[in-house]
Amino acid sequence: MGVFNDLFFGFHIALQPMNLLYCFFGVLVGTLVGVLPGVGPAAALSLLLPMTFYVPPVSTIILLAGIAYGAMYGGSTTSILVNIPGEAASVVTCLDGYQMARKGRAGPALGIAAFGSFIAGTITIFFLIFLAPTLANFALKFGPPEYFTLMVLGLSIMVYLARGSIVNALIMVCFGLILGTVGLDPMTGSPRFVYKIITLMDGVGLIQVVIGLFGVSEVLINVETIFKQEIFETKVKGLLPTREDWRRSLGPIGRGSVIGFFLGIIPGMSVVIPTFVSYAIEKRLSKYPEKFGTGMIEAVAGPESANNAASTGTLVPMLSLGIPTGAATALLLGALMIHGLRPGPLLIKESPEVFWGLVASLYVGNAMLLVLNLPLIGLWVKILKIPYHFLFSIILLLCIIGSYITNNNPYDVIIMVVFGLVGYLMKKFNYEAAPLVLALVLGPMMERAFQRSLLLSEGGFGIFFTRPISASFLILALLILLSPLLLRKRRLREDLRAGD
Amino acid sequence: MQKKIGTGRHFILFVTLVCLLWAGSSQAQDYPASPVQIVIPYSPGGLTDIFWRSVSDALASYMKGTIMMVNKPGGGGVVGTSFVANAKPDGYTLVNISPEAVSIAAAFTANMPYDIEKDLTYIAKASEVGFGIAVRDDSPFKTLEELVAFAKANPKKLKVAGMGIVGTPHMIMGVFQREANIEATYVPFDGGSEVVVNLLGGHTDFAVVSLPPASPHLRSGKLRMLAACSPRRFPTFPAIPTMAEKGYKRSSFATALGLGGPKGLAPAIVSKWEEAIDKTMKDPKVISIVEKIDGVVIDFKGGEDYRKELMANFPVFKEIVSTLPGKK
Amino acid sequence: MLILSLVALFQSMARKKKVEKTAPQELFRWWNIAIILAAITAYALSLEKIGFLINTFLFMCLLLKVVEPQTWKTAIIGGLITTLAANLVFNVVFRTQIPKGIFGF
Repeated sequence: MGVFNDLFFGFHIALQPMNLLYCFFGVLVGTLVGVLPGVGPAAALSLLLPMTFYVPPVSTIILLAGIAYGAMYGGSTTSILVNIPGEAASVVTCLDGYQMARKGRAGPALGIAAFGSFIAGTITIFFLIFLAPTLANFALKFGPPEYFTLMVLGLSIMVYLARGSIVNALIMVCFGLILGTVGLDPMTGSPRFVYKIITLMDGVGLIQVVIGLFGVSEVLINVETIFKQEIFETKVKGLLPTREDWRRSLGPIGRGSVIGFFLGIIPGMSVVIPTFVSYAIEKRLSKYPEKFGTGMIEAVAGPESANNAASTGTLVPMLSLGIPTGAATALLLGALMIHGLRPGPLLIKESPEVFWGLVASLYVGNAMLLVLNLPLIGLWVKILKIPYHFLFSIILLLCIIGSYITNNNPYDVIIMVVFGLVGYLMKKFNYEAAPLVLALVLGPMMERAFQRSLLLSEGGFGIFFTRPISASFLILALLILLSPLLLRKRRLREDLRAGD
Repeated sequence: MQKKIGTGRHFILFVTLVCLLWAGSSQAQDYPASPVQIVIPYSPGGLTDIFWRSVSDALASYMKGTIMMVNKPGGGGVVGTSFVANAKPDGYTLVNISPEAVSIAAAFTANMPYDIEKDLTYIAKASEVGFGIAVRDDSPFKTLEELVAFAKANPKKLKVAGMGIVGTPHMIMGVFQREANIEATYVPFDGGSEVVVNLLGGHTDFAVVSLPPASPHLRSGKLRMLAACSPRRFPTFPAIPTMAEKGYKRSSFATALGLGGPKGLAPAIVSKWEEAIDKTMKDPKVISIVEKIDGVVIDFKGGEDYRKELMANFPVFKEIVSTLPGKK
Repeated sequence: MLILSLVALFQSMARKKKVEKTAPQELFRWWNIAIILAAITAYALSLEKIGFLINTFLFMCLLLKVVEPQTWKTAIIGGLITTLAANLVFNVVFRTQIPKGIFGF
């Protein structure tokens, strides 16, 4: 009962007119930020940071959290409309969401993304409230060996992302892993594959690669032949998800929320990974896995819910331990610090109004975003009607600006160009981009986790097996890798039996 | 008639002269005439970023101009610093100067895109950002002496977490290990908070932590800080002794935040900035904001002194780097 | 990766018998691709010298005129609108740090 008292108290704060205004402003800016590729919540937060000096702490955190949330919602918009991920976490939404748009179903795609995100956000806020301290302590148990084996599990899930030839997908994974080594060696600081190009010292840059592989290459493919106006079916079949869509999406939304939240609480876990996992699981559970990649709504509902759930998840370590899990939460922390607030185990005790006010405003923010985004669907769909021979130039410009803005570095744009070409060639030869992206994200993380684990164990490999969490991940991974074989065996057996 | 024309010509000449003189003097006095770009060679949200953005209003008013912060992350600070090192020395492009991108980076690689002695102008130092040696609350080490004693008896057994390789915590450990004559295994992590998380989770025995992520746990008692790696005690944690007080003078150093620019900056511009930074760091409003950022200790030094300080540590760093496993 | 590439090679050779090459019935305008890539590269390299506004305008005009031929009028007006809109969003609303260039704008 005490919790509901606190929650009520929180709503009382969140619904004050001033705070409502801040919340609204936050989600508005956030959505805009999310829609623009390459501009992530971190950039917006850092720009508004000086403003926050003059604003009371509760309102600050409401504003900043609203931005972070809004960005999550906005990111899927460009993914669906033009195959450019608004940020790395929206990559998976491109896979099927864009295909849906091409078939005239952009409206339902955007709609289910919005609804899914809302539902996920709501559910996970409750998880946050009731489970935060326990979860945080669990998350602490994740040391380097656990991270490593978790990543191994993640890579094995990649098997289910492959639409076409498994060999091609594996090649992409290897390519991704190799790309991930570009930069400074995590142990010695020596440059690898850098060729004295300073920009490469930090690696190739995920956002630039992704924008190039998805956005630019798509434009290139469309440009090589005479435009048929049916790149996007002009007859838009309805703006909102149909009942059939809802029926198919409820499961993915639920699963996505759970997956996203629990993966999100692991400190340092990128928001990208839960979306891939959700996609893989939905594909595994679907009756028509071959159709994934052609516009299955489950493939949008699940990952979008996962990505929102993961954002809430990242707040768990932030609020209860004071540990940021990414650039956005780091800024939130910084803003709080400047106001003299210290997130951490003492936050709830010392400044309950901040914690509960924030929680309540998360809910309010989610609701606002839903209300904001639904009418916008009509607007976005109209944008698709702009003739492609004009639209493509805008798309390209967005890609360029997006690649540049992350680091204010023109060479990042060159990286994007290179990967645009690579992506184009990949599409022509039937190689998929998704496994590459996953490997690019996981590779560096795995390498560091592996090296640290070995340092901790003084060189022994046993450390991965002697720790319970780590060992269970390895067993799961093995099961997943073997399951196609096991399934095939079972099918063979059934066929034989049927043949008798 | 002739007189009028003559007067006219004189008048024009007079006006022109006045304009020229006025323009000439305003050149020097009106700096900065347009916004000055201060490059922060790290991503938004980091400590450096927060620090400069917190002081930028006051600094701008002391400089009587406008300041624009630009983030150019990459290479541990090298990308942004290189950008400024190659910029025109007109005083409109400056950069945050911290040891990571200067003395430490140069200790790691001979292929620097800029020469730290020749290609940069050091304007001033604003503050220090310290670290601390911390353990979990259930650790057997209650004081630094106990930790050192154990380490001496068990070489390489203790695991210490720290932020990064090309960074100050690594260097602090290097110097500390030499000063105390101990051997511990350094496990690098990607960022201050990762270090704290791992320490809390018990995956390493102790850590060189940055203050901001550690402070809530220091307050709640989950973490214990044995010593502060800083020339002075932290304003937010005055009870923690410094490494120097514990007897390890050489290990009592921290990273720093300062301002610099490309080589060839006009001395008038440099001293203007020096003065402004000095005044900013003495401004009570600035002090009240900055001292709330855990780990930051205000420490103003002029450009020449800052340069000496950075270069002084360089040979030590080179020596530490040369003994690293990958470099032998 | 080497091993995998070899496997892929064998697989594609095996598959060749099944797949007939469909002759492209439409014009394959590969030069568009080259132009776009070159244009983006040029844009990136010159951005910090020329500045956002001018560069974007030139870029848009180029794309609209060359890649998918429009009338001069469409190209210039379109370029102008897009440049101004982008400037509004990025430089004014977000005050993101896109360079001004030697002409000061």
